[in-house]
Amino acid sequence: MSLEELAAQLRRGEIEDPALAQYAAEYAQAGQSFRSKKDD
Amino acid sequence: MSRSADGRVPGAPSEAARPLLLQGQDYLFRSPPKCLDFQEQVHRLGMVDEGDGNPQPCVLVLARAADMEMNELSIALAERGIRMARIDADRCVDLPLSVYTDQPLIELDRWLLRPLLVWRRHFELSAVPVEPGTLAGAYAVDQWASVANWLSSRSDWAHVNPSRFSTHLDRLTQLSDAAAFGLRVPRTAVTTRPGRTRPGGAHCIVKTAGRHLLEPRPGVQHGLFPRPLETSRASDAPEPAPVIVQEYVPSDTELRVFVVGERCIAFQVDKLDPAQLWVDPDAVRVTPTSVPSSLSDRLLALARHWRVQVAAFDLLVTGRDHVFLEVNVNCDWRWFEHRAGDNSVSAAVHDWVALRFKELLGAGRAR
Repeated sequence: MSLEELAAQLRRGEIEDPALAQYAAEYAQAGQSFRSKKDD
Repeated sequence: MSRSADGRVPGAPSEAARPLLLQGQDYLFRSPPKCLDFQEQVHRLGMVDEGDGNPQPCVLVLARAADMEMNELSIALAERGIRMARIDADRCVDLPLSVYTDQPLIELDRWLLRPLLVWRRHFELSAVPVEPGTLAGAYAVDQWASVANWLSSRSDWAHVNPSRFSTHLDRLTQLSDAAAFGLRVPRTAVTTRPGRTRPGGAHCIVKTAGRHLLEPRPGVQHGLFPRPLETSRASDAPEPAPVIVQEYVPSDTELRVFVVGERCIAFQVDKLDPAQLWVDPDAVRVTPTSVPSSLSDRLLALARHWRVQVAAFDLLVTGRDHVFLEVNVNCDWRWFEHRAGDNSVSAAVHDWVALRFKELLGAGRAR
């Protein structure tokens, strides 16, 4: 599969691969927890 | 650990005896070294079509795992079919990496890559996961320091915010350059005696001359935020290291202006206290705004002077005047976007990186 197709799947929330779905869940969780962090 | 009746650890310095900028600063953030890079994940999982064996042009990022701006860039570049590769300070120990010296190539894990554009941000040596105070730890950090500096300044690669210029852009240099470009700056002193150094009057702000986050152990970040210098602090208590003391400038509001290439994207930032940005972000109101061309022209001129392409300026608004506070080269834009409900900086950065990459790719093919 191409990078573009995989990224599009991620954006649409349509990931079927279990390992990548786990990554997507962790990424979403990190996005939430790092919302309050300011590094600069 | 036992504590005395007032809650202090016996033998530990009292709050008043601590450095001024460490007093009452309880901000602590744990930054886990968990890979959150989309492109690294899909390549490691073998989900991406392998190329033809030739070195793959890429954007190379030196950052840390929790740099969410770069994690989002990885997805955005994937959407455009652009390969991004990553070296994170907090995941670099034992990284399979070989860097060619006679060709602009790297082997990262099992991939042969040709970086066209390199961006170093938040690749802090204090995040390298080694045991502090050990010879083996000092060795690994020193090796990574040298190699990371070389990677982020190689002349056969293009760079975002080239380190050879931005590394020396400390807050004091920023102030003198901003003044030279016609921006008003607060009266400022650098001193180990903040109790008796009050530029511009009784009311002053103390701020760090260095980073806003300190990482005494890898992954554990402590905040160092601007704070008012108490008017009662008339003693001669010495600080262990110099701090910046600035006159307090009454203002109507504050601005954060992101420069991305030749664009300025501005947010108005309303807060009650300088440290609220970090310790109480929900109390900070951020709204998209515009700035007059007289200001944006100066900021863009400064960015060109400093040779930075992506940076964030903090300014005070006093009537029709603007007061320069600082510029952040390793800037965070998602924090502001989240509060403003606006993703214009992300979009501008992603577009700028993709366009620059394609320019460099085209230039390489034309040779």
